[in-house]
Amino acid sequence: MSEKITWNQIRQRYPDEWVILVDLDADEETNEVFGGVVLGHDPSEKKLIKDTKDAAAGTSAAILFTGEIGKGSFLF
Amino acid sequence: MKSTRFDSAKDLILLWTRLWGPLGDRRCVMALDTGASDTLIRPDILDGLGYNPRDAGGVTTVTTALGVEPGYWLPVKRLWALGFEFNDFRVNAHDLPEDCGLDGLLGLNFLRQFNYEVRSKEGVIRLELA
Repeated sequence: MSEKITWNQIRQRYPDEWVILVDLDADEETNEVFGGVVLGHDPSEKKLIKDTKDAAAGTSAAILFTGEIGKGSFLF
Repeated sequence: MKSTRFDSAKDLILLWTRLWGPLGDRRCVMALDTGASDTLIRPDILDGLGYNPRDAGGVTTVTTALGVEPGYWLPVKRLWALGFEFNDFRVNAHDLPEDCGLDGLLGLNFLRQFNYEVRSKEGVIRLELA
């Protein structure tokens, strides 16, 4: 298992990718995630979840996109 | 009355949410969508939590401006959003474009439990149970 790093560090290391984080540093009231251990990362969320399903089983994790959410596209 | 802050500079109202399933829990980012009748979660997220399409309560159709696509609904063990949580909460499993970066959409089947106020300029949502 690798080191625990901050959300800003995660965004710098894995730009525009999906990441799954465990051992979270999170606010228990708002559920905002500030950092954690990167269990996996991939440009495809589908592949990431498939590849980490066994390792993430039974954990409290976060699945997040490191890029700008919704940028440059319309969502309706 | 509970208040939740969001970044009013973003194009979407992005919210921290949390889902529980047979294989653990996941913190996710969803967009508040008052134009969506149901809450929508990516099927992969549900799969990673141990849910299976075979557990679906039924087949659904998702109608967008681009057409009609099939999906399915199922009750998730627990969902937390905007300071409140519900057990056995109905969500619709349906894909979103991967590059939009969202895990799902928080729709009206969540919001209609409340009276609520979205203060866009201030970046605040206020809710109270109806």
